[in-house]
Amino acid sequence: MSVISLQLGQCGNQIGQLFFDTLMSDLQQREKERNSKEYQSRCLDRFFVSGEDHKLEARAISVDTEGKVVSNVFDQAKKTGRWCYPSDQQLSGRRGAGNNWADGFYNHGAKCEQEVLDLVQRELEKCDHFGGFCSLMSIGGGTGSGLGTRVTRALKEAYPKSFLINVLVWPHSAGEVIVQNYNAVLSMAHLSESSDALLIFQNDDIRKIAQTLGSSPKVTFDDMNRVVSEQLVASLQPAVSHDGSDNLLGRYLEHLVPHPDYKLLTSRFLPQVSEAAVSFSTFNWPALTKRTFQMLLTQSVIDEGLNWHIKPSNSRNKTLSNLMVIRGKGCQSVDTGIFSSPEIYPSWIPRGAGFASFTQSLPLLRYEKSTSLLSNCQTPIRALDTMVSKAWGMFAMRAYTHWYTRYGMQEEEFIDCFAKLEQTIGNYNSV
Amino acid sequence: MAYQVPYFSSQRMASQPVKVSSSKMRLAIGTLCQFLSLSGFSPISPETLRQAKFNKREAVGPLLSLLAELIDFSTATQCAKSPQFNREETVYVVHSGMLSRHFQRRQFYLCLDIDNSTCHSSRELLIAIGWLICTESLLKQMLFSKETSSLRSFPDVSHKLQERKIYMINTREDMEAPSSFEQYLNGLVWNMGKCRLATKQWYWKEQEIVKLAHKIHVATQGVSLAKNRVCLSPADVTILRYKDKLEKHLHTVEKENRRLQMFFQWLEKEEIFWQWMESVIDAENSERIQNEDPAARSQVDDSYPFDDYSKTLADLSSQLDTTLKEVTQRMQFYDKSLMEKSVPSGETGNPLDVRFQFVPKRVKDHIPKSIVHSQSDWSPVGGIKDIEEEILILSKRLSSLEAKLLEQRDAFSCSCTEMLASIDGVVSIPPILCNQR
Repeated sequence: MSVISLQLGQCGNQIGQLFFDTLMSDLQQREKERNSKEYQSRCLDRFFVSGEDHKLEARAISVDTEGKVVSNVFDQAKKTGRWCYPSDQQLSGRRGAGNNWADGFYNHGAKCEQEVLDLVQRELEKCDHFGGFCSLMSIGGGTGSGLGTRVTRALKEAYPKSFLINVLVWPHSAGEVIVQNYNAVLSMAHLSESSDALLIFQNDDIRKIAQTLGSSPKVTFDDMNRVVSEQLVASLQPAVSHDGSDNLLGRYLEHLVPHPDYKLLTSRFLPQVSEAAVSFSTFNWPALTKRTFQMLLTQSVIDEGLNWHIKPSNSRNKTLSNLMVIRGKGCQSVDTGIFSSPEIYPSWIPRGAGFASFTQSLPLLRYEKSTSLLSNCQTPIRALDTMVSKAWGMFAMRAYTHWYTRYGMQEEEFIDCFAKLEQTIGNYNSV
Repeated sequence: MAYQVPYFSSQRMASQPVKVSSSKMRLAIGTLCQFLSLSGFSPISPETLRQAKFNKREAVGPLLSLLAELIDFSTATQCAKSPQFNREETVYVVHSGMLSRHFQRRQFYLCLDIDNSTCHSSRELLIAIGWLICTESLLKQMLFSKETSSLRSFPDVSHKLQERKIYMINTREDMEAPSSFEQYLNGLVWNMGKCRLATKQWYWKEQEIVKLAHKIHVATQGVSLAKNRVCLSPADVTILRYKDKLEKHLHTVEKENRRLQMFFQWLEKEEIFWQWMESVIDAENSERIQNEDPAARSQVDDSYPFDDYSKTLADLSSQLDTTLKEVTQRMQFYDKSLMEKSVPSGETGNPLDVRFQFVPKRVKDHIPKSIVHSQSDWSPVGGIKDIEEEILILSKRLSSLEAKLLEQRDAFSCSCTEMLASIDGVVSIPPILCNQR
């Protein structure tokens, strides 16, 4: 199964470059392991293709309205010497989207939509078994949110039978950009229609995790991007289910998001231990699974300050589906029975159908044992509700709406987007 | 109940019974057992069939399972070995399957004990199996069916389909009864979404197969293992590339070859098997006779002149043939003589100018008019008469009788009137005459 990554905007490109780098680092560490050749070839086949001079090229398309970020990312990949981006699979402009969703969607998106589709077609022809698209973008700015939304819609129209998952980075709640809430609301509303699944990483949580993993309290965007890329690698690298079938993207989506009204996914990864502390830590499977389950019950993605009084019966986090990827020695014997507890699922989900797991005996990166849980649950709803409220507060005053309407956007579109997200929030709250 | 046995059975009736050695019979039975086993059905030994002939209890279990599998196969289900039936289901499948196929052997249904999920007679099961194989040509179907062939698909994914089917059934059964319409809808949409996404996965897997097959075809152009192809197929490449798969494939081909050989052997030995099956029915009949009233049974023993009776029957049938020939010859002779009399000498006689010849009532309508029997009973009274003359005579007689009737009526009505004139208060009403003819 081959996954084509679309790196959209600055955030998407930076995360994408770190994602492929982390993959290669993991594969390099696994080279010395026994029985790792088949795993390596499956991993490489999934994310890379052998290009000219037998060099590994990422199955990726880089798009940004500014050329600086893309060229930087390409250079960094080349520097590693192990892999690179295909030189003809990039598209960049001269002028950014100015943190304006409408500029990204109506202006830049309209101009480069067809070119992006051509690049995608070229990449698709290299795949024997196409597994799906994975778009990486942030929704607080202009390019990732606006152009990314446009490209996602175009992909869905051009390849209606394909699987499409969008990895979204939500901005800090404190606010980096004044109109980030508008951008986020508009993006979320459009993406919830065109995409199959939205995997959400909130900057606030990622920052805290990065602080735990880092040696210094100062956290850079690079550290945060690394956290996101590690969690993506943990979820998307090859693994097998109990019946021997691969963790294809289609399988993930079939299990996690079969209901079209519920598409929001959250990622939880353990252990969250700094590189320095890893060698002094011991992990056992019961502790990892128990902590992951408690994170799920408490709506937390951080392995700190968990409230152990919350039980499945009094948890406020209803889950529609959970998918766990377990990596490390002895993974087949891990007891995941707690995740099948019927109290955390709605009654219309059949018993036992809400949880699935995949295993891989080879460890991941520096972690001897690791668990990665993808959940379709109510965790992101509170943040989404806050975002919508803030955006609505601004829209009620018609603050900064002229920035959007000058690109041809109507006010009705705002109202439609608010309505869609209210519906999404209502659906999740009623689970 | 009779088998649709080949010509062998009718020949046996006409001539002396052909005795077949027990070793040939064992071979015929063994061929059938091996063929069924190689076709994926529950293995069954010739000893089991022999035990069934003598109605042994030990043969009930294996034969019941085999019969259920044969019924399931003939109902055109997906695989020769369908999901394992439990005991209750087996008996039910057998009962309903044979009933729907109009198997009219009453003793079979009496032996099936649905309440206790068992059968009391292995012989009846054996007879039913033989009937099913014979009437539905099951062995031929098995030979050409993909599901019973070891080479059905490469790689074989039917077990995955079966697992998926069982998973979906279990999932549906595990769903709680919805407490509201909204929950019911959500459950439905959830299920539909699963199907939709699974269909998408299937679509991409098909795309992959086509792409990879095309790559193989392009890369192996000009090299082929089959006459009708110009390149290698994906299965060929897999076999050539992986030694263990080649060995497995060879083993599969050998198994299929043995199955074909068994079938050809069966074609040669089939008649012997049906002869043995008739002995099973004979065994059942003799057992029934033994269980009858001993007083009645004592009249029928080995000294009973069966041969004399069969000779007498044969003599009578030959006499009947001779008599029929004589009668036919006589009929032809009289037919000729009649034709000569009716056509005057010198005239050729127009075949269209056939006059109707009056024949007495004793002669039935379906006997052709030209036939005149020589025996005295059949000769016409007063000779042959012309019908037109007879009609004239009869009509004259009728008219004279009618005139007489009218005269007599008039005379009687006059006398009545004279008689009644002397009586006061009485009126004479003449009868209504029917003047219409």
